[in-house]
Amino acid sequence: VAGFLSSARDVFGVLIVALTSGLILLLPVGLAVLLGARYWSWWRFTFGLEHDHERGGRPVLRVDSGVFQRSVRRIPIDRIQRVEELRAWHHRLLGLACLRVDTAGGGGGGEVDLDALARSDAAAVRRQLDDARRAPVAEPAAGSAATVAAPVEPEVEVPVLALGTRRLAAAGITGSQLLVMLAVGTWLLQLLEDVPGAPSAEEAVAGAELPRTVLSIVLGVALFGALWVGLAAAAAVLTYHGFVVRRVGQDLVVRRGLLDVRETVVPRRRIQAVRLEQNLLRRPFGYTSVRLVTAGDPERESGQVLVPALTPTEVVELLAIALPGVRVPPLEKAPPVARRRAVVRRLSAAAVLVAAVALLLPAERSVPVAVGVLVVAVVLGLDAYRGLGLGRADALVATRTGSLVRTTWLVPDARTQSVRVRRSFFQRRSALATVHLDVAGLSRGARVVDRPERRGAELAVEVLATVPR
Amino acid sequence: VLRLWRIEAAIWWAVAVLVLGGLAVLVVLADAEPWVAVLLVAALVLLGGLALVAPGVRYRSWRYDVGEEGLLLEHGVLTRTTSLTPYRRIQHVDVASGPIERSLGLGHLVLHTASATTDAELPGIPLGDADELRSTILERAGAGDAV
Repeated sequence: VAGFLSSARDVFGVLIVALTSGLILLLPVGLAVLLGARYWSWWRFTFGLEHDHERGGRPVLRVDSGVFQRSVRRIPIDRIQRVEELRAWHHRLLGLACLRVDTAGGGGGGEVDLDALARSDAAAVRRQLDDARRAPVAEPAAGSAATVAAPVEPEVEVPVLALGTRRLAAAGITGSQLLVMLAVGTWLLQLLEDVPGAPSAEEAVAGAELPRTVLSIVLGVALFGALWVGLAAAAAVLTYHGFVVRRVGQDLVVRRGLLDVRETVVPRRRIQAVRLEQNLLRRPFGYTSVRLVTAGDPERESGQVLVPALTPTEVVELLAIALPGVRVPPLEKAPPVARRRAVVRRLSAAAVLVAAVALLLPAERSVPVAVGVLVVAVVLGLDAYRGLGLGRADALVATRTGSLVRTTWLVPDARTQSVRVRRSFFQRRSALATVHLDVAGLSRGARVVDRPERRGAELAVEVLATVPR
Repeated sequence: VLRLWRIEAAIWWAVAVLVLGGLAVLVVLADAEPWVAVLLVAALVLLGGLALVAPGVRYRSWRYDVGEEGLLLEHGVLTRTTSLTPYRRIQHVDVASGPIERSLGLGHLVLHTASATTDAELPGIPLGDADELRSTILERAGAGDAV
């Protein structure tokens, strides 16, 4: 039933096609095919835990699926990067859950959804996966080729942090939800204007008999602002409601959500990097968002754990648990020659904008706009230079970039897959280089921007020196 | 591999000739501004020059070293890139070859790590050597899961 409900979008698609094409008689056939295919697909989907004798009896999650093309996947339990329990609206309606198991594979092939499990079954499967993952490697019994399962130690549960509604609302008001709400609002207005016979927004405002006083305009703007901010806050509260992080043995367990409830288990040793982000609005409040990067499909970074807004003390506490034994080093500034590069980079982008403005506007209006754009570009360039930072300690690289949004990456050397040192034509003239640290689970790796060429090369060698030989 | 890149550049130029040349002919037939046709022909000549020179410049900028511990690549003309990929990070290695490569007896080797951004592709490997090179690299990669 949950499978059918989750294909509500497909059902809606069939309905639209049937109604718009006038082939309403084909609607029952379309729905029967769709639901039949769903049922068959569900019938063919089976999973279970088995033991891989070629890998010393280590447990493997086996998933059989496919209607026309049968597929058998065997995922070694110790390769699982993350387990997430998702309870969307249709799951909650039916008392079900979906278990999402992520591995390091990319391109959409790295995850398996065990959908529509009864809650008790989902909990039991999760327990089995956790027990199998946490169990020490079985030792061969004396005089026998068989293996003896080692006992599983009971896990200690420690609360790490919890975010209240007020904090979540603050995160929404100062975070990306603000832009999302603006985009949604614009889209809705567009949609309303597309309704046949409906007036455009300008016509509606012009036609409305509103008092045209300064006070009414101020009130109108304030009302719009309050609505916008309120919606952003509400969106964040809905998404992150009841946000709690717990440490259970060697895992971090994160729970959140009001309508769609998610509980994600991240083995701490699978954390590849940590991203700290602070935008212009959050800087005065000292709030930072923290993303714990685990390996998986880089196109699905949203599947990674994101803590929306933490105070500096909470960031330190979370890092102490996410990257145990790692000290975040102080950041050193980029060399002065990098200042020119930072400014020129933004000026080049601004020059394109200025050229477009010059083409579109008359000279008397384009000149002040162009001057304004260039001044903003210089200010952003100087701010970006101030934001550049690099720190090294305890086999970890800390690197900071960005202007409007400051991003700090913490990448343990042991998690770096490869390193690229890039020098553009202009960087070579200033003897600078940018070092890219390639990490699993990211579509764009962490960057150390504009460091002296020699330091860049040294850093690349240092980082990879810890790779086991 | 230089020959391969020259053939590829010639093919791209031929496509440009078809597209830009066709547009130039249309411009002339439509009695449009003559400078548009001149501009298109100039672009074609420029692209032709690039197709002639670029493969040699690209070839001279390419270096690679299949070392004991990892793969070192250096490439790029305007932006120079040095990539280091330790073998222990490798998940799998692909040997691939397109039709032009096959006609020259060449293929390219792609080393995949758990990161989607790793830059580890070796072009112009003789097909006879590619499998052996792949086996050597996989042997050095060992059996860890690297993530």
